[in-house]
Amino acid sequence: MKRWILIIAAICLLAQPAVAETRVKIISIIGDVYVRRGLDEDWQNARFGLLLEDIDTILTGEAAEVILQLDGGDRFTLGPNAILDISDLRKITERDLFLFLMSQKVNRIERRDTRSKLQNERISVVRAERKEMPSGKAPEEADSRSWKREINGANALFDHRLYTNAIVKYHKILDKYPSNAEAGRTYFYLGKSFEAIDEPGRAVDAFQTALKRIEEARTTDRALRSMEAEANEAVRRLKK
Amino acid sequence: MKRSCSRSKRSYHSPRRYLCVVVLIACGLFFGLIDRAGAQGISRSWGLGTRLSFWRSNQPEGESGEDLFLDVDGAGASLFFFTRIYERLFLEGQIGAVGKLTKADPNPLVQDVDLAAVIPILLGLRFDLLPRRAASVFQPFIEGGFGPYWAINVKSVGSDDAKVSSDLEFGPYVGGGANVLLINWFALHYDIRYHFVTSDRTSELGGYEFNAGFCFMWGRRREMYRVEDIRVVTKDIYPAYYQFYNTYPLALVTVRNTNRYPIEINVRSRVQGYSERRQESGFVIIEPRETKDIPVHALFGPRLLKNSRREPAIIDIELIGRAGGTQKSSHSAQVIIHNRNAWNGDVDKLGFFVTPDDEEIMMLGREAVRGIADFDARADRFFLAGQTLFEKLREMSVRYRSDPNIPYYQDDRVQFASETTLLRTGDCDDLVVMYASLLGSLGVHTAFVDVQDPGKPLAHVYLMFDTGISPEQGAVISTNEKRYVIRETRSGGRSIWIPVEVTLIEEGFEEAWHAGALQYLQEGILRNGLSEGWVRVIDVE
Repeated sequence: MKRWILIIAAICLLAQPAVAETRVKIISIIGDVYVRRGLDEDWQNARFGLLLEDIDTILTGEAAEVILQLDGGDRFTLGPNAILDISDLRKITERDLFLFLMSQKVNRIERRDTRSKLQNERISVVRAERKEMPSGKAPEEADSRSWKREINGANALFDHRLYTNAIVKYHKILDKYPSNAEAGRTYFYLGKSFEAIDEPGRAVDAFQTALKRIEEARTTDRALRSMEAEANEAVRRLKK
Repeated sequence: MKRSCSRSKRSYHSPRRYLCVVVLIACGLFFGLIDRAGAQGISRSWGLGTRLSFWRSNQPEGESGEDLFLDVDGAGASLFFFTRIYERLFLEGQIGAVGKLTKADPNPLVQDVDLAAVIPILLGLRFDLLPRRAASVFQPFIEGGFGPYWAINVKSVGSDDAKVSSDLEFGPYVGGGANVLLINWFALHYDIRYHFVTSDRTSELGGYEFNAGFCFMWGRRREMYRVEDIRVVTKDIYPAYYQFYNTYPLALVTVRNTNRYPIEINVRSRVQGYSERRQESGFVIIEPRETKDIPVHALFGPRLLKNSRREPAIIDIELIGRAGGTQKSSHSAQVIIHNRNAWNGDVDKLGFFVTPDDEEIMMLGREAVRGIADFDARADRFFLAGQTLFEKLREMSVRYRSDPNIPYYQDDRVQFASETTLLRTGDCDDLVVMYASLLGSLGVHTAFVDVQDPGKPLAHVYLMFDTGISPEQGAVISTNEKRYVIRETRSGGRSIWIPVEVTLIEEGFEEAWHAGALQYLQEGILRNGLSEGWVRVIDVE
């Protein structure tokens, strides 16, 4: 399978030039909006007219909003409490999406445990104890806040009908927060994105996983219950 | 008078004849039981031989033919041939003569003799009794056939004259015997036949015939197996991967079972002058008429790492077929043994150059982290190890330098870690091998990042190492997640890996980390290198 992916990739790459870099411009800022350039550690305040590159990241605070102007002149609005990599706005074709999904599958196959269960990893001294890292917030809390920002960024992509971009982003979120309590919500939007690009099989899979995760969460959240009903309806509709 | 003479002769010869038969059978059994008689128990398609014959007719006492009395009890010789028709069935033919000379006059001064002879010209079928799978040097058979028997009687009449009378009769024969193969083209042969030949004119011709002789054989042997092809799949042997070849085949031997029963094939192989000892494939069962590829391995050891020159070598391949008997055949193929530093550019194999257990490397690694307080108890010790080792290399003035240009040599050259620390220079693969060896000596897992950018003429490799820190604690390393890579661990968890561009030793760890992370982000993620397969992360096992 991996060999086929490589062959397809090589053909596609020969057929077209390298992917162009994404550049966007900030044309409107409401509230607290921050920008992180490349691999910098620190965030800086966003300012009107700032050009952002695909390695940069943009973050909005509570009740904030930023409007970006994309390469083709389209506008993209990022709502409050959201984080988005500028690279998430690059053009992702269905071929790119297919390769991304396939590579994820391949990577899952490769990450098999090849070692005997009897072997302990990295135990060099008996007295060594694993110390918890110092952190300002409990991991769960920080995790939840970070997840919220990421999902808001992904939903912004979905709202702007950048469905292939949204699918890639949802997958990255699911990889990054595999045990998040609200993963059902992510799968729900993933299903809707697949449905939008006419991938009913994958959409049904995503909706069914969403239903399973919502059920596991045992929540009374109205929004989630509404999603559950909508996912059931979508599964019925798509299976016809 | 003649009858009494004839009887007395018969009674005189019979014990000797029976003794001969017993001796021949005993010899046959002897050769048959010993396994190493020089032959492989597989008869060839054609054979031609000669043998001595002893004939004992069934002539009842006191009876004779109406016109011609013939006493042929005696000895003779014959030529015989055989050719395979199918599997164990042979066509056989024989021409010869047996007879007896008797003194015509009991007076010792009279030299006249009478001659009685029979010339059988026979054609028949021979069937080998042992199945082919039980191939042995002792090959018993049964036989039967038909042909004319020409009987001649020359009787002295007076001192200068003789009366010649003859008769031609047809009849069948049946019998059995054995071939004892001494070498695969020469066999001892004996059989006992009974001839059913009667005639109104002659006395009884038919009776027992005892034959013993030898034969030469030629033509294609009915072999147990046929080697259809030998494909060398690993023509180039790189000493650094010597352990790899212990499980990966150097060649594939395509063997066809040409029989109607299963056989077992064992392949023995060694590379002359390089293998530690002979490697065996173990017996592989091949079903009737089936063709199988049997891998040929070679058992190499660290001795191969001493090879300093690129030179050709020969793989000796010996096949041993087993199905009752055995059949052997020898073959050879050529491979190239490269020098110890040669590398074919395959990053999957670069890990073979990583030597975390090298004493020098272990000492250097431990020395570097000695100054870190409570190193072993720290949760971020692997990150610190990576940082400290890198700075140590910088202090040692290890620098990037491209490989020497060796004319007509397409392979890359990789230095072992101890060589790089000695030379203080190396190209990207030398430096990642050294850094991975040092990290490995402290128990840090590493992976190579292989970049084969289709837009660039040269491939590149850099390294990432496992900090052992979970993504939830990632802020300890960096608040920017783009500076690291989250990967699954072997135990199913996830941890943070740090990409490092090792060629930037001179710039220090921070710069090398930044450059590595940026490369990974731009090439691997933004340009889809990872999903398209031209950026690969290869764990160093």
